[in-house]
Amino acid sequence: MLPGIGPLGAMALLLTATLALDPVTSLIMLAGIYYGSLYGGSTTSILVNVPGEAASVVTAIDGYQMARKGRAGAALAIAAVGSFVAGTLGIVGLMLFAPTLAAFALRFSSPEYFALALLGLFALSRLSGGSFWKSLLSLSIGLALATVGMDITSGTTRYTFDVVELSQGIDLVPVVMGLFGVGEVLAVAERAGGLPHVTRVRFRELFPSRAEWRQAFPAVLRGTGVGFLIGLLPGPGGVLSTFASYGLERRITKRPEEFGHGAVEGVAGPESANNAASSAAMVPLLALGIPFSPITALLLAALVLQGVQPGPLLMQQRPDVFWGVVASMYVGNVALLILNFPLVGIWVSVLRIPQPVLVALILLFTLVGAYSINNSMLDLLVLIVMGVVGYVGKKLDFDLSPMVLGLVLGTMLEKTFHQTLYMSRGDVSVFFLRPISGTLLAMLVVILVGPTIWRLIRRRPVTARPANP
Amino acid sequence: MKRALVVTGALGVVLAALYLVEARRYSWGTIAQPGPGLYPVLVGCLLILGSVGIALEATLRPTGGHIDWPVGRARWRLMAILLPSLAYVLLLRYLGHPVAGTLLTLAVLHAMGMRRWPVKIVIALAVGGISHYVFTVVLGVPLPAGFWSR
Repeated sequence: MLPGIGPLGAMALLLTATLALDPVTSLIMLAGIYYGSLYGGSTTSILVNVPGEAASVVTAIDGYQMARKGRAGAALAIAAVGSFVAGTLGIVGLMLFAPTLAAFALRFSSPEYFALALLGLFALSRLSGGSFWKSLLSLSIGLALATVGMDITSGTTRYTFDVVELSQGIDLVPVVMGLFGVGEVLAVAERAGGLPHVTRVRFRELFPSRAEWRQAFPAVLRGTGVGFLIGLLPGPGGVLSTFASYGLERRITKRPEEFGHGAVEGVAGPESANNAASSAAMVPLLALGIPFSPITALLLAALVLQGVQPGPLLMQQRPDVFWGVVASMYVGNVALLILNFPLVGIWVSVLRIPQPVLVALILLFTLVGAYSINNSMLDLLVLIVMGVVGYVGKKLDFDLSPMVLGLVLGTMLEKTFHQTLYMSRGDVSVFFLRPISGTLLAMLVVILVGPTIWRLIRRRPVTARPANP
Repeated sequence: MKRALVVTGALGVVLAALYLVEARRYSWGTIAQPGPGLYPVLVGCLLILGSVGIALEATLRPTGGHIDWPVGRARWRLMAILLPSLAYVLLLRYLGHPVAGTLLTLAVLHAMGMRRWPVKIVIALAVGGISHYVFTVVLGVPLPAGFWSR
């Protein structure tokens, strides 16, 4: 609910609290935090016109306009019910897809994992909007950070500069907390303004009219489909799905003039798409052990901290973890619907806490949280340095998600790269000749050069046709 | 924006050069038996590519926007939050979390414009104490207690 902190910052902040729990409970709690922050993000979008996170930006367009017309309660209800329906259907999709994908992934070997990791990294960099070069630099910094510490293939320590603590590598959590937590604290401190004006919502206003339900429901179902499909793919599924859903709703509506002025479908579609995409993002994480987004990367880190390695064998070796997550997602969705519907007024009051107190609390919790992972002073220094990087990155309009994913997938990328070269005795063509890795690399090429070629085709001037003789 | 991005690109190239110089210390091995230095070289090249790309993009296709770097009180506020955070890190082992946390909270509340000292002190003491209790007692995190505890 706090603008800027978002699901990633919230999860990084609360990761500490999960360390004392067993793996299933820990993942359940993190999944709950994730869903909770998605709901919270839409609430501030609708009531304050300040999206709590990137995936709620689209909701603010029509949600805030509905609030201005006195339909804030209806917008919140549609967002909550849409998220609930999409989340629930998304979990059904997860149950259907994850076991199938895990069974398929048993055929994967090093080249396939290398190609998949590469595709995930570059898809996020290419599709996250903004400048590709900025994303590429962000990604390569993440990959470089991943090379710090002991090389798992040769046992050589690299880039440690004789600092013993660095031989364990750079931990993900202080990096995420710094980039998205401390970075945001610094940005808030810079602009230190008053409290936002928060629209009041009464309980009786939380019920949309019959006409609004009729407009919302088909949009919810469409948003769910769009969101789930996009969420399965490598790249920033949550954000992309909201824009795709909004675009779809605007294209098929009979009342295009309402979009941007409080269209019900403009809230229902993107909110549902966002939640469906978040469920779908769990499929590659649980079935392949590969995160395609920074959030699932953090979930992976939490699992690894608990000694659980997601991947194709997870469902056979740790069915309690897999089905625990599925069950927690069902329960979490119901709990969030109950919490959000009648208690929305209470949650919004968080925005009325004086800003100095909020900033102090977040900063202190971030510092203590980062320290508590490894009880390391180095982690605290990494946190502060990354906080400055996050703040400067925000100023320069950098997308920092690729850096996080680069740090997480870097080790795997290097390991599978080396293993493939050992396996093939230095024959690089193996990456392209194996059907699955070849297909994944072909997709990578399309993602990398496709948009440029498409732009060139669209820019080509239309040549005049010769006149008929 | 253009100048800032060109500087960013240049800094990226310097960073990549330092990274590659360090990578030379590790064996590259052969393509059939890659050593620990091969992958860092590829990453270093990617760093250079990204950095040069940013600088070229900013030069050839400038977006025109400008960056509002903090000045005056905004810059002071940033420093008044960053420096106490750094001090917290350096002093945590010696002062312990309750004291260092209270001092950090006090500094942040002051930097963010809270006026009344009694209120600031009470909030800082409460945050320092409660956070220590929550993390050490409830969550079992061994936060340093400082030289007071010896």
